[in-house]
Amino acid sequence: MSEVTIGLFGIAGMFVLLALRVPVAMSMLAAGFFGTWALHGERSAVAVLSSETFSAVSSYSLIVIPLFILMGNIASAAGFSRGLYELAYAWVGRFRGGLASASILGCAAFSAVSGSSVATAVTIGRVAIPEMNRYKYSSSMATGAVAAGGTLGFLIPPSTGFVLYSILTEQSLGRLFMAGILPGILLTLLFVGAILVTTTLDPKAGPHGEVVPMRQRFERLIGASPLISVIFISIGGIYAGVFTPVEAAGVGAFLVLVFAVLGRKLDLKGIHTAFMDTVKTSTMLYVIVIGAGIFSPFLALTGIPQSLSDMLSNLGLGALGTLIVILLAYVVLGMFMDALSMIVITIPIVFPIIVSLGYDPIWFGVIAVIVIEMGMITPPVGINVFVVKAIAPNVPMGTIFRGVLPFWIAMLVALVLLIAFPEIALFIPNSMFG
Amino acid sequence: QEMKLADFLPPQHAYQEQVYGVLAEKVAEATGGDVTIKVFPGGALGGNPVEQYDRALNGVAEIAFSLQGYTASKFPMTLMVELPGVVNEQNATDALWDNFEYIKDEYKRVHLLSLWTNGENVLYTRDKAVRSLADVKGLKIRVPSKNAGLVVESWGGVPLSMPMPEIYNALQTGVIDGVLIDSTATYAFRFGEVAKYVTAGMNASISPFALFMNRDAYRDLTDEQQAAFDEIGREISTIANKVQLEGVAYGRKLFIDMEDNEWIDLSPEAAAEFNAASAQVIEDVVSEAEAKGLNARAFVAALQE
Amino acid sequence: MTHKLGARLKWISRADIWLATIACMVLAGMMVFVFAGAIMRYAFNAPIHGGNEVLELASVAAVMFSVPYCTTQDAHVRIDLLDGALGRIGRALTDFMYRAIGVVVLWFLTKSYIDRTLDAYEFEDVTNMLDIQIWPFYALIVFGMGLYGVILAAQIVWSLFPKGTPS
Ligand code: NA
Ligand code: NA
Repeated sequence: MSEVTIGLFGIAGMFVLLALRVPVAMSMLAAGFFGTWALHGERSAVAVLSSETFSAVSSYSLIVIPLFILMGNIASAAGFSRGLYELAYAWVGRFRGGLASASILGCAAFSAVSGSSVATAVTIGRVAIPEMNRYKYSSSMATGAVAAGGTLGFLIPPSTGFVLYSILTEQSLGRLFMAGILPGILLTLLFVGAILVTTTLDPKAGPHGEVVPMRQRFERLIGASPLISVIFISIGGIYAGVFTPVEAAGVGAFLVLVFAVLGRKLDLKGIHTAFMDTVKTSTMLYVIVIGAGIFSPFLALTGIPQSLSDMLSNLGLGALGTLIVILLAYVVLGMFMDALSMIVITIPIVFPIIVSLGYDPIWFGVIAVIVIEMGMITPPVGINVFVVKAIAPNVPMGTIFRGVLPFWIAMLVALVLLIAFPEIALFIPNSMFG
Repeated sequence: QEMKLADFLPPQHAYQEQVYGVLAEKVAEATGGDVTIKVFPGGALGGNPVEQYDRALNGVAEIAFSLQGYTASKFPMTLMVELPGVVNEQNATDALWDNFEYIKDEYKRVHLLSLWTNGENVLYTRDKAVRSLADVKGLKIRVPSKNAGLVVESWGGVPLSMPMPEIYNALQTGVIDGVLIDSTATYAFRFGEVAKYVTAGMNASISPFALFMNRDAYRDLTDEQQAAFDEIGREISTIANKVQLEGVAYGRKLFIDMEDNEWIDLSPEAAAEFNAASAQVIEDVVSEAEAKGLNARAFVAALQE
Repeated sequence: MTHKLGARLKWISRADIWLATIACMVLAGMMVFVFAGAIMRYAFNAPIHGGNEVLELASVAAVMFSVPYCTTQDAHVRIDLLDGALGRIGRALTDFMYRAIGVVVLWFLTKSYIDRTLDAYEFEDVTNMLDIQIWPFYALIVFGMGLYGVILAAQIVWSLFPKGTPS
């Protein structure tokens, strides 16, 4: 059997396992492990299994995950996030889908300090989903908005996606970050638009609430102040050069805990529950990272990414045609690969093709990041959907994927706009750096 | 037979063509095509730099590129080369190979194919110009290794460790004041964008790089093939060092050409101040290694010759 | 269903909670450590040099102590698109398949970490900056992932003898 054939069997095997309810992590683990075994024997397969496991669980950059989850869990157990949402509700709740839009705006705000879509979805989702439930939003709307909104973490700078793209392609990270700003705002607005359209078609998805008097709107600022001040300190701290992102997460969690204990909002039992929930959710995510870490090297060994690029250059489709085929390929890959390994594996193959077609390399960085974001919410493997599922375990996966669909379409619209008007991405970096 | 070479550097890195490409060519030629090398760049076989040594050890790849510094406890002797002023960037690679006898015990579990060094590390600073030793006082400087940390400490700076991907942002926002690394970082990690100054000219530290080979993969070769690998491995060491130093020169030029950036070459007097401060580090590290039963003093003396 | 399983072998269901509680304490320690490190660096210009190594190894402990809990709570995310179509027997069969595959993969994983632990112990592998011994953390992976496998194996046994008690 050729390497590519084994690769196709491996991918197919993973899909079968996923369909048969094998947990995502174990599906990727098993497909990657046995696939590597078929390619290079037991020793090699065991070695990958072993080195990737330690890599994942001892990763410094992943530490933001448990810390930010903890911050959110304590904030919601102490009722602080409810305070924030009552504030948001007071201001935008009277509009249809107002709380969903508030969640999107929350995600966008949080994205400005978090490079990770998972952290964004977790932090906002912890607060937003229970509150949207309380205000009778449909669970598909509530979970879909958070899963999609979380992907903004990957586009709005800082973004781990741009960092990797910059290193792989030797493009300026400063330019890439600047290029992400307008598309980030555009996508945020398109998400809000998607909510408006969905709630117009189905008013029950996000019912509008009562009008809150002006005085009360300001009074609710007080209830929201603990969390607002924590966000201000931890996130403002990153901008001011006081904290690294990991530190912002740790400091944020610590401060929320201190406020909760001083304000007598949380007893020992409540703290224990918040922590237990944190370790459960983050461990689940860590195990998925291990699975992805074993599946991706397997894919690289099969040479499938390489064959894809060879095929592409032989098609002779012209610039736009090739671009569209590449983007379609990303959508397909995005179904089952995680974002970071997708960048690492595909960009080296795709980037030279794109540049030779005459496209701007910074602009393509934005395009690639958005299409990879789409993969985070495309079934069957969508990391953000899993995150949301972890936060809202009672909502069926199908419902979340259904809820995500309008936002997926919004992303498609963003892509089309960016291809038609590259200036959306290039205006800021070009006027800043010349 | 096809050998896999695992590399965590980006696919555009100069090593791809100029080091691994040459290695593959030479191996194919010397073995008449019986052994070929396929490179997996960009961490395709697993990206964590720290795990690369284990990848060669366990045969995930037959050959893996890594830095001894990532698994420092396995290479205390080799890492003596880091000590300030013991070697210089021009002679370091040859000095290591000429004195391989002293360090060969560190390469028992994994066969050492190639071994070379980077350029002398320089000090990138965010917004504070370092023109004399006094200027370093209190600066928070990210260091690549324990030994480099001792050097920064001896200068009066505050060393800290931080994973590579965090540095760019930390330097940009001011969480750290500086980074000690060789000047390829101007483009390889884009530090030219977030640091206004580079200070060079003092003895800082030099890092060893290696191509590790799985022991069984090496043993499975015929005697002639092994001899060919030995010879090529050494040649590649020289080539890789040359490529690295070209990168260092390019990084320096690039930094100087960037608007608002200043490259500070210390005067001999200013550099002497730094070197006097860090001289004690050599003695401390060597004594500590000797206390553990390592033949460090003789090795360092041999390197210095 | 997991609750029933847990009730059948009470000591496991209690042990997982105790272990996860240790994980919580490790996480709390990490949080305080991060906070202290940030303050030390910013306010006192005295960063904890090598602090990242403490956090990296602590996160190994936090994850591994909570893997068993994550498993008994059935928290591992799955795609439930076909749940309805499979029916009760279908679900039982696919559960069996997941657990069997899991036991095999985790067996290899655990075994490799036993070797790694011994290896790291023999060669005294330590971290770069703080010289922390690494073998105990490999041993934690043996412990956490090994228990994951044991729990899956136990669940297979229980599902085969639904009425009996585990001997
Ligand atoms: Na972001
Ligand atoms: Na996906």
